Amino acid sequence: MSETTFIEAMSRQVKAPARVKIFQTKQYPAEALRERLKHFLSHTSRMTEASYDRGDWTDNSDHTLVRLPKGARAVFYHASGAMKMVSGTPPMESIFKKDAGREEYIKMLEEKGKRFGLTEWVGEHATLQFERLWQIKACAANQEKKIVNPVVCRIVGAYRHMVDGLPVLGAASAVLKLGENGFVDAVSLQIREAAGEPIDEAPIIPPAEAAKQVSAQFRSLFGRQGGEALARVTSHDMQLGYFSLGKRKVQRVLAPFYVAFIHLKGKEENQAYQFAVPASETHYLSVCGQGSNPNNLLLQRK
Amino acid sequence: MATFGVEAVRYFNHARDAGVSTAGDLTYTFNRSNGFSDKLRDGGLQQAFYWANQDCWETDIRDTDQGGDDRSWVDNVDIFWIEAHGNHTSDGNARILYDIAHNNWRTFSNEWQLGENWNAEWVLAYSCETVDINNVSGLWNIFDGLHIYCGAYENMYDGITTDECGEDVGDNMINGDTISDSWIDGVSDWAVDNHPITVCTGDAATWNNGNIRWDLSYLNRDHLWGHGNVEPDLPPSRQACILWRWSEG
Repeated sequence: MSETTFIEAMSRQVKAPARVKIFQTKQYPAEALRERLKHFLSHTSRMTEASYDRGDWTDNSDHTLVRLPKGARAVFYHASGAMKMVSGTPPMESIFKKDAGREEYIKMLEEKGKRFGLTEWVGEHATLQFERLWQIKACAANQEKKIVNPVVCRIVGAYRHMVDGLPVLGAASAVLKLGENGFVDAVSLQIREAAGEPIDEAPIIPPAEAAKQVSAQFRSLFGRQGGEALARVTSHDMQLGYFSLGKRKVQRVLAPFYVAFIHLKGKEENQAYQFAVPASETHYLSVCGQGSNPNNLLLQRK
Repeated sequence: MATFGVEAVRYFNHARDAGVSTAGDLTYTFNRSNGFSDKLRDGGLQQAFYWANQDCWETDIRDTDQGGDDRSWVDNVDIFWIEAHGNHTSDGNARILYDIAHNNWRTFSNEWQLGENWNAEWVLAYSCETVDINNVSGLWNIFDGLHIYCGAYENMYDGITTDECGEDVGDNMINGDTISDSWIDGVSDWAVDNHPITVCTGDAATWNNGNIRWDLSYLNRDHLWGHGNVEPDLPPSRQACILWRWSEG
């Protein structure tokens, strides 16, 4: 497709409001993060009937790890406050005896999510919505290529944090991983809470302007062949929302971004890219678009 | 001490200029591979090599018997992380693109034979589509003592929300998760459409006449050295089945 068609098609995928509120994110001091993790573990105990009130706490440079009874563990990240509990159960134990189907799995996740009180963690001006069901499955074949029926090992519910009606884009905001009979294998929260009233209100750049920036970033990955690459795009999607950086990064504000996903068919290799571009003229949040250089390299090879 | 190796290709301009591929450059390649390397070193493993861009060669994974030099590189470490563009052939072989023809632009897994008398236990490839989920047996030949291949059966996204995947995989491993879980959970942010898969072989007891003993499989039992149980190598003569575990959504 031509660049014009690409930009038009991407723009049509987003309905952008004229303005979006800018919020500061809630920052928790170290001691408060520890208390939050204890609270998180007491919520987890509600679902698992396991007792997580005792643990071995170890502070690392960017996270604190808690070893819990029966091989379970919990972690919180100092930069973001993101938290995770993992049961430590081997992945092929507590697998589903039969495939109950999507609807049943979603019902199971909703019930567990309510019992955990997932929505209590979203902060002001916010809600949490179920976004997507994932399933982890396993299968096998013998040397005669006889293939057994796949088994469902875990179901994974991904939830999206919504602030002032907009999704907070990035990794799933909450994840619930269950096994057979609602066994809780893991639960995690990666939520950037809005703190108090908005600090600003930003005019939103039109989707076509954002799509133009995405197009430029995309083309730059192909050197002289940028234009040809556009012709090989097979699917694309663009969303508008607040942006959440990774859990190991500090973030002071919730600011609007357009996030685009592009898949293209190569001559020999297919590719999938994600781009994030600021949705306001004023840049409130810096997102590294450059990537890192390799470290720990040995000397150059001869 | 257990060892690991890393190869990561971010730029593919030489491959494009040579007309062997239309693949674009990546952006967050080294965020992921640096993160993985850092975490494994935190976990007490020794980095044997870390090659980048044109210093990554297909001969490093090609079997020595087939003219490659895997015994000095990929088959000389316990765990190997590679990131580059990937795909699979129509008969289920993994293929990975490099940015230099040393000696070829691509590796094909019909030329891999990992484990043997050497070291390799786990190979992790952050690359699209190196596994054909409809023909996973196409990878069988690579398991000559190798325990698990971790790859993808569809896309693996390059983007800002997958930049911490290497750290996540590494953290999972050094915190005691199984290799299979470390990969599937670590490369999934449960938002972008990443499609990881882990593949291993099993013996006759695991196949159990088609009533699979999942509990016996590498998928259920293998951890990073020093961070949990590691099953013994399974030579080809004892391999009765191939098993795979993946996420879909």
